[in-house]
Amino acid sequence: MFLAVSGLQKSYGTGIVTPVLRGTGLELARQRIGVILGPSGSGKSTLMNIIGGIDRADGGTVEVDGERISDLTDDQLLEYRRASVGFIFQFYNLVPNLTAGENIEVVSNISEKPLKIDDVLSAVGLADKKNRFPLELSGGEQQRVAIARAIVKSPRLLLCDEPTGALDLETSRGVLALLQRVNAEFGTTILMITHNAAIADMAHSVYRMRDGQVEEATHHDQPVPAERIQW
Amino acid sequence: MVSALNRRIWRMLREHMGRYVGIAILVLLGSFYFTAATGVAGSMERMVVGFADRNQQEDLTFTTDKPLDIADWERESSATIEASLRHDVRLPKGELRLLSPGAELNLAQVTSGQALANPGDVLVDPHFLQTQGLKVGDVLTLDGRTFTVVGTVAVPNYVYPLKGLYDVLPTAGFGIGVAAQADIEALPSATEAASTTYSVRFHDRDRIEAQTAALRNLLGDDGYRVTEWIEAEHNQRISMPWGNISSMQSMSFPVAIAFFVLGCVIVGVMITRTVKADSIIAGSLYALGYRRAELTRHYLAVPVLVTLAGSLAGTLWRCLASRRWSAPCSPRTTCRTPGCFSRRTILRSRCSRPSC
Repeated sequence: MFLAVSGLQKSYGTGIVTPVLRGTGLELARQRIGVILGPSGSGKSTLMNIIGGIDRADGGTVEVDGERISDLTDDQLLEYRRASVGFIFQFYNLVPNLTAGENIEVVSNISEKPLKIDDVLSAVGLADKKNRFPLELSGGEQQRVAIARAIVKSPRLLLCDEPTGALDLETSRGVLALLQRVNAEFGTTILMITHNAAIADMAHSVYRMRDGQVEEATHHDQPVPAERIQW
Repeated sequence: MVSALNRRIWRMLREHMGRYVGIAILVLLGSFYFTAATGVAGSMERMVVGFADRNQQEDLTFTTDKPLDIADWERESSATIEASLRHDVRLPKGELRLLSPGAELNLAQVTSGQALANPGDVLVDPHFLQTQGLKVGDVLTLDGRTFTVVGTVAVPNYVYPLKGLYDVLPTAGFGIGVAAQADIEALPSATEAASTTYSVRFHDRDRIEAQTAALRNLLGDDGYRVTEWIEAEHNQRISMPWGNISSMQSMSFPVAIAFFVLGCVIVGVMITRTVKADSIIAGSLYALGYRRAELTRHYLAVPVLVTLAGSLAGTLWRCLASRRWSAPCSPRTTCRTPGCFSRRTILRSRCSRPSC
């Protein structure tokens, strides 16, 4: 299994301890798309942060492509993030005073074998907007730049935190279709957090979380193309 | 630091140019004040010490009711003692104190023009020359006798030219002149009004206070009545520059520290605001694989550049300004504040130009 999470526990706070993850577990095969559904406070983001190596669990294990990242040191986690993980955020989080091309270059600069910036921009359909600043782009275009920024280092795992949360329906469809294409063309395993249950149809695996645990995991062999998703 | 983020630094500087220029100016002022005040005070101190040493500044001066046998007293007190003549001459627009030139002590330093060479030559202090509307080569009438102003002079026991020992500020129109003793004695009013004072400089430069006290006791024991006695330390004509130097040194530090603290606070606020406004982007870059050190360097780059530019500019300004200030034998002699006058006098006394 490409991604294997088992018995993950995480609490916040020192005086009054709030458990966020209570023995969470999930598995996702290589080159598949997984979607985590759940209400606010169910522990989706915490789970994703731990899988992405920017937070640590109090207990349990996380294995990515055979590497137990829950045992890595801080420096090793950094190398793991740098080499293997791409992040996409709900509000794009682009650097406002860098152009689309430069935003991608920022990540390309720290990658060992980055893809060509022009190729990545073409892949996300923004070849002609390379020199535009984020404020000169629509929300959907900005998210495309964020996707391009995340995939320029050819990550093995792409983590998406509500990637369509700030977009309208049509634009969301376009972004999701792009993620499906990235999955198909680059073979990138994608794990996505969303509130939107309709998006689950485009995933190979769907995990429903509640109170820090995965309540239900379903798997589809033939996910629905993003263009046909209705909500 | 990677190139795309480097480009961002220059754009951030351009976008908030006014804010960063303001901070740089503040740093510039602090840096300028600190380097200027400490530098000027330091170089003034060196100059004053150098001038005092080179020109054999007295340790004390006194007058007595009867003449001393100088050779005996020099042996007795292990000091160089020299008698000098002093005579004040009134002028239509002021007063000139004529001093006989010291041969061993209080050596007059010619700062422009020529040294005394002929009878009737006189050297005056630069400010007196200016206020009297004179120039080198002019003729000056003193007590009905004509003198030729052959140059300007600085005298170690009149670094700050006070008329009276207990004056606070120089008297308007008052100045110092140096003329041959014979010329002073030849003045009609000098026979009854000129006075002889003794200047003393001890050979042992470490125990001046003790030697001063011993000399005074000896004079008393030998039946001399001391009519005027002033030690260099208490002589405002000599010690005023030290007061200026020490006040400049003591003021430069807290003021510079205040500027520094203010600069730190403003730069700190600037960094805090930038990081706060950029926290989401910084977090994203961290998630995408940037090291904390790389991000720290990125966010420190702007404040470092701004403070570096300000401090370098301040230091450079100070260097340029100090060149201008210390230009020897400059014709600018307009300032008469104590600090300015003493600085100018002392500065001029260093001039190595042959004509000085």
